[in-house]
Amino acid sequence: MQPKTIKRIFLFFIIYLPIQYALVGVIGLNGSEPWPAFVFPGFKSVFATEDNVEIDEARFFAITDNDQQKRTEIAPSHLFEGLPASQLQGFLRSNFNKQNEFSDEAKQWFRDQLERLYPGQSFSSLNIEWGVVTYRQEGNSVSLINRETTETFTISLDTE
Amino acid sequence: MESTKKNRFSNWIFNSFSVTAEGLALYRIFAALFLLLFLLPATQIYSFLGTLPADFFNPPPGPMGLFQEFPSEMVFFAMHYLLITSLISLLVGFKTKFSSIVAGVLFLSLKGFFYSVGKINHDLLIAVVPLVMAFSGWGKSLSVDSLMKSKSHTVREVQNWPLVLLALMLGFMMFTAGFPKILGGWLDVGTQATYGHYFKQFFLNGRQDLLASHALAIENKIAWELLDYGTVVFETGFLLAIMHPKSTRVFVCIAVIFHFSTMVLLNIAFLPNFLAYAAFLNWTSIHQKTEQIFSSERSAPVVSIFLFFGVILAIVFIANHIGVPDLNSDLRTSEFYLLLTALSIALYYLGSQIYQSSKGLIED
Repeated sequence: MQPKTIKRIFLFFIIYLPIQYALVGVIGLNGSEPWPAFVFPGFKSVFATEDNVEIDEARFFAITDNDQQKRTEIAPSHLFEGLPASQLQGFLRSNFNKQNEFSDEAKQWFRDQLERLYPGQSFSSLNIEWGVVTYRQEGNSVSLINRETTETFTISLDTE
Repeated sequence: MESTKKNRFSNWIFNSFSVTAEGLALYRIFAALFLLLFLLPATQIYSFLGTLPADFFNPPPGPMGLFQEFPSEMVFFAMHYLLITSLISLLVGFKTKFSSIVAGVLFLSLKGFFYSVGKINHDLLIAVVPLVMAFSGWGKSLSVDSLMKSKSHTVREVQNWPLVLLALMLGFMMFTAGFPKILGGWLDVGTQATYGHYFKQFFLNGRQDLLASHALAIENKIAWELLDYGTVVFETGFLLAIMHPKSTRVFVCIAVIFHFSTMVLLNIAFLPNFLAYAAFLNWTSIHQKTEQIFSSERSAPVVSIFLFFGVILAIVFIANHIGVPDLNSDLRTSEFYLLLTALSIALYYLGSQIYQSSKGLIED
């Protein structure tokens, strides 16, 4: 490769890297970060306040398909077993942060997962509760100070 | 003035790192083995993604948008075995440039599908290293390619600019990790961001291995705030460090210490970065020294690399059996020992730099 071409490659990247970073910021405001992009995670959020730590949380509840409408809490890591732990929170934010309409195929997929976890039980819907949990550390232990539900979404498991 | 700037620019690109065909080849073998043994995607995810309905396919903006759903498990496995083939080809140096590019593209594609669940893990360097180094001529020695060409036709000229380009990308990516922290309030002395992240990892994600539980005893807010400031200064400063090879290497060493600290406190290893960090080792010197140690035996440097990984694998195997360290989080034993090895190398380099500088000062 000619030195002139190599210099042009460098000039391209010197200009491209900040531009793509700006684009990552703009696109990231309304959606996911692009891939591939020359960025590392910023871990921008500061969860800690003066005394406490506040963390977003998604809780999943399966509702039984009978008159009692019993709620069973399911850990997302169990419901989505197979997904790496490092991707779980992002997966939840991307797919369950608004009232989505899921296809029959997806509803069947949810029912299959619930059958795997609770064989023989029948469920009519899934409730997803988003909230903020406040913790306080006292020595080697941690206490839950407050749990505030901010949004609730429901996925009906009835197919057409 | 203008020509001085141009000269500096050229000098930075073409004269920052001195490389030899043998040194680059040794790094190629190291990189291929590192990728094959420790950085291949875990195949368990293929069956999960292969059965996920299209509703959950949220491709990140970019080329993944060309797809409508996750490929089947079979396609994932086909890509996986193609990747292994390209990495073996890279290891032995067969069609090296082509196999480097194929490996890079396959990593990009596989990871692109993984991240279409809605979360990106920022391990782009896994793909960037083979893609950039493909143009360095790292297959010009210790390779099938070099054996296949007759001696008269062998051109052993190698390029050092890909290392500078890699440093530029690494420095910029580090900056993108540090800059949002300034905007997000990491420098606010009233809150301790590192503590918040530590807390989240410890109590919510169950990352309580190694020294994590000991950090609970740190109640001094100034100590946590120093970690906030240190992180921001290190990450943003990396972009300036790449201007000079020595400062690049020093910052790479600091990065290793930073990742090791993150591992012992937060149980996060971020192993893919180490593939890129290793590129800045002085491979020419490693090649020469191993040859000297083993009485000019030509294969000694290559054998040493295999031996290095063999020892690491043996340690990991034994450690897994006896449970040292006792790991209950998602941190792997191999990650612990690789980072421990990297830490020793980084401390050795920093120590030797400090020794040389102090010796120079005394002589002056």
